[in-house]
Amino acid sequence: MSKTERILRRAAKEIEPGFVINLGIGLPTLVPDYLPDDFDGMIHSENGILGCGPTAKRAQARPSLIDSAGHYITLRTGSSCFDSSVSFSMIRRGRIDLCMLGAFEVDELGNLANWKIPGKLSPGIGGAMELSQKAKRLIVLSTHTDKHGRPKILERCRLPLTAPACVNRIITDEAVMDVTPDGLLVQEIAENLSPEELQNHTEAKLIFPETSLRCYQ
Amino acid sequence: MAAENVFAETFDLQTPGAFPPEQIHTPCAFVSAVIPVSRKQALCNEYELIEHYVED
Repeated sequence: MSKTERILRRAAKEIEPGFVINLGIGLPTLVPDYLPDDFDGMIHSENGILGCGPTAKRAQARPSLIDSAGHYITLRTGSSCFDSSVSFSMIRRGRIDLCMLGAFEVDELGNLANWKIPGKLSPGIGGAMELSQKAKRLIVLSTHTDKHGRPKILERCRLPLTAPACVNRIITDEAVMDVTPDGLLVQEIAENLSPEELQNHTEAKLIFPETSLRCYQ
Repeated sequence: MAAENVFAETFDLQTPGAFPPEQIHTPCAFVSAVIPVSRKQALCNEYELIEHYVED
């Protein structure tokens, strides 16, 4: 199983019936592929859709029906379409039950950096600033280390922040961690990985529960 | 949009998908509860709460 698949399979378990969910660009947009067909929830897209369905096949694609990442999508039964002001009212009013975003960096205070690497072209922060501050629960999906093997779970973020102290949970290919007032509490650890190995891949100091750690595949 | 809870009272409750998506003025995320009532019930104040997602 790939790192990505492990993250997505675990992330899909976070979604509860009736939830209004926003999925950020990147890894989170792949989560619906791991949801059951009878999944009872509504996926929100910032450009003004509640009830996004799976990605449209070529024959189904309608030029006027795209998600916030610009992908052609389908609609689920009961969906609604509206303008951006209504869409962002929904976010700012706290009507998004769960938001999943990717990350360049996330730290032990729950700070999130996911939009800008200085010196590199960035399309902009998009809706991430509002989503990260106003969603009832924010989960970050990310690989545990970058492509050079450097930790992405840090003591303090170094890149420009998307929002401070906004992250509730971090799901990586190596662990599931909750942001607590005392630091990052490890809730689950990937199979065949020891706590010592996990700490070695993490810059932030991790807190391990006194009881045995649950594993996930 | 601004209210903590929104209760929608209706004489005519439709199944999901009955309305074209672009004709919905208040998306379901804003609605906490739906209360179907007959016109007679509306006069008598005997409502039945059938569905709610009221926040804690």
